[in-house]
Amino acid sequence: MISFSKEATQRVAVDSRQIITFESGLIGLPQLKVFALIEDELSLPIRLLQCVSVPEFVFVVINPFAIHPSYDIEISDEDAAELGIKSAADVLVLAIVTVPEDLRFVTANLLSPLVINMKSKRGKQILLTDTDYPINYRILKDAPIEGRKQPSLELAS
Amino acid sequence: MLILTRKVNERITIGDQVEIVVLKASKDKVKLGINAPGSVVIQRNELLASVTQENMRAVAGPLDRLEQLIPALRKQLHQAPTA
Repeated sequence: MISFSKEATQRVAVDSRQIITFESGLIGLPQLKVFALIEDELSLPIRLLQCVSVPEFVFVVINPFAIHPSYDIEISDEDAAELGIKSAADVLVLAIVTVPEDLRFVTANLLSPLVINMKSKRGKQILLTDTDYPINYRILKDAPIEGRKQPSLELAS
Repeated sequence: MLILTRKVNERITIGDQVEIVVLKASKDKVKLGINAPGSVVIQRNELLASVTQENMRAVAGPLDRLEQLIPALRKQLHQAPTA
């Protein structure tokens, strides 16, 4: 098991992560192409995506289907071909999460999700058209209680 | 930058597959029609700009914020009725 430690940007075991290549980078960040997808069962549906070449670039990502009951996206034939997607079962969809200091305003970007072919380990940030999904979908319905920690998640110090 | 003046219903062709037609023009608005193959990605630039901005904002700050976020989120999802 891995932990999302405070020092996750410095030390995360290599064998606990999967390398995903975003050939065109992220939207507006074309230089960020190769990421480690870091997963911890106790932290799901949250995962981390850390840029391999610039480890300071860490994104918090979430399974959008877990937070939006009717989330539904269509992957274009061109994107499917680009990522070598043959079966929907191979696809992992993730939304990038913005985590401000005030956790009441934690949001997920449902408008431009990351589509990853877990077979080929290739991903792309797509921009949905003809949808109303917000770029800043609030994910916490109630603010977490300040200072209270749950024992279920052990963070390495 | 190449600058062309077009009237309503006049067209321009870009490459051999993209055609743009001016459908309507008013004082500060033009309505364009674009004919292009599905492989050509067409986006409103301000939408790309807002995604870029959100991506920048999302570069994670201190990850210890997750220490509170993850339990709160998991609790919320656990309580939600399974649909």
